[in-house]
Amino acid sequence: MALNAQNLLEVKDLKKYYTIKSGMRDKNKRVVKAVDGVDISIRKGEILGLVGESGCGKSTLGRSILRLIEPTSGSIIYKGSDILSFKKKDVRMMRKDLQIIFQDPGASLNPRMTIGEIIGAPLEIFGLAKGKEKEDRILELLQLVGLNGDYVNRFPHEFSGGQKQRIAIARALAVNPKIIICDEPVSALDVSVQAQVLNLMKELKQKLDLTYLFISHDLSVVHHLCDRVAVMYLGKIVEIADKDQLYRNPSHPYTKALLSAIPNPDPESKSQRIILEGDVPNPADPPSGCTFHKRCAYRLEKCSSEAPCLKRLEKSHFVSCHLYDNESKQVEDNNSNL
Amino acid sequence: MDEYLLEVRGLKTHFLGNKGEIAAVDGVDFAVKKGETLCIVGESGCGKSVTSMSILKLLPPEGKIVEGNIFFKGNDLVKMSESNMTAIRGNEISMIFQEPMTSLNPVYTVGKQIGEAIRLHQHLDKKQTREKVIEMLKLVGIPAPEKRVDEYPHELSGGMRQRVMIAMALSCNPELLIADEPTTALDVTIQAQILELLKEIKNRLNTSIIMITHDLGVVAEVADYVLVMYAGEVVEYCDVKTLYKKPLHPYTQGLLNSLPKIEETKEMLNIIEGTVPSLYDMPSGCKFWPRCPYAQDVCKKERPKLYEKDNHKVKCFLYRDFEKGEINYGA
Repeated sequence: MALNAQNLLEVKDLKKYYTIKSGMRDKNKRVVKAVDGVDISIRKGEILGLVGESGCGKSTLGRSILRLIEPTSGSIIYKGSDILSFKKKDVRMMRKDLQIIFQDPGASLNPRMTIGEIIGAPLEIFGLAKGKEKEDRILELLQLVGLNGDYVNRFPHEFSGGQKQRIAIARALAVNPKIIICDEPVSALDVSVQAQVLNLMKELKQKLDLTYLFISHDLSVVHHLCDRVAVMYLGKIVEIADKDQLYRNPSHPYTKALLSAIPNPDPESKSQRIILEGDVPNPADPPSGCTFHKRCAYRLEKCSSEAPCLKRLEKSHFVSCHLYDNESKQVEDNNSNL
Repeated sequence: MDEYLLEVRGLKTHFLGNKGEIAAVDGVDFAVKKGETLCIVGESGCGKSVTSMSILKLLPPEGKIVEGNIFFKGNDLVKMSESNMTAIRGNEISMIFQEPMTSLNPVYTVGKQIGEAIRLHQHLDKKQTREKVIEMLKLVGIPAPEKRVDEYPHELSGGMRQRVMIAMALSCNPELLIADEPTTALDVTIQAQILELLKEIKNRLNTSIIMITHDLGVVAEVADYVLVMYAGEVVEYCDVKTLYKKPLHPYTQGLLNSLPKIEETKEMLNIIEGTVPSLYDMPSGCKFWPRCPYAQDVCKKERPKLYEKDNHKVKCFLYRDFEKGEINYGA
């Protein structure tokens, strides 16, 4: 289980399947492949963006890494060992290094706890600080995220959305994590506040030497923040590349459509828009072959029967699409640099 | 005046909150011509939704229009009786809401819900109504409308539900369509489809649209005119190209600058300091001054009025000499 030197965390062939029944007496169980064989690695000190539309499995992937959701199979290598083989106790200790920030800070902060208690909780749980030391650390964390130290005894409802998200960030930082999984942390915020929180996250990353997995559906935010970007569609990674490469030269037809669908804040831009037909298919009943083929304008004959896999286009640009079958070489499993 | 389809003058809508009365909309003026799209932008709590609800007089019991006029085709809706309003709502003015799941009734078929307004306002029989419903579903681009008409909302995807809402709103050929964040709950690719549909409908049916949104990208996409609101007031009002090329109000400038843009890479985003003030505790003078980089003494004491030049209106003391032709662009 040799870890590529620059990779902090490696996800290999991760799968999360849910079985569903459409009624009590429904005998035929169907399987929803929320995450279907994802290989991805997070490099030390980078911000890796994970984009996709609702239901593509991006949040399931993020939560599976922390084992907040138990994956069906695969492996997640962190510091030389597989997180999925950990016992309960080890899982908790792992979470000292891996933290998460959720989308809706209104729902992820306990309304009956004061801000001090919320931020102090991880310190107590991991036995990091007690008494005066703990108080000091809480104040330090509040200052770090740009909040006034006087707020310790207030309750979450007294704060605005942006302030609540700052509190959630402070809580995640309390244990000095190495990686923070950010699950749509700014989607619920207004534009002017969103910019404040994004700046804070960037500043903290530099100051504390953090690594982020940044899950978002907003491609402009991802462009601003991330170093590399992975695009997910129906449980699979369809394209992954360095940010500049992905935005300048999107290769998968889905990535192209996604990028062209962003409303451009310039009324005089005349960019040609690719409008995708239809909706994201029902994940319980995905199309055969390439799951995107029914909405794809460039589909080939084999797209409906044969599922493509990730292939290298350039040094760190991978795409899963039959259009590039001839100009790329298959990724060798043991040397994946995804 | 009759060139405008809708003209709102000095609208003030107050709410009775648990800590006293608050001015959710505090003096708003605008006008919409036939076939024109006006976007109302602003952040949460700025009063953009309350403005639209006031036009349709769909305010909750705590809310009340305390001042102002809303002229629709020359008649003042503020003074209009409830029974006359009922004849206008859904017929001449209709509305699309943000969350298509909660605004459709889960226990009725799509066809029945769209048909209700048609039967009510156009007095068609059952068979004609059904035909009209299928025609509407076809218009908004729903595949296999003959089948979809008998389905329930839960059988449709989010984008399809929003199309059903649009079909419902358009079913009586309204002259004015109010769309309150119609694409906020949708994914980008679906959002692109719905925006395209709204533009097409506007061109084909010459419907006027008031779109409420917080997304400046969407505004650039669909608007002819833009009204920027902050804390219940209009801070800037002009045509869309001017707004993006020469935003005047420091708040508008701040909003546009704080957007992450794909074409440019910068280390940090520009931000507007602070947060939107609480409606219970509004600053004196200009409501934006505590967050404004150009705040002067006068801003803290007096409320600016809407200064105007070449149809570009802005509520800021920086442009006091606007009418005299001296423009100081602030930044």
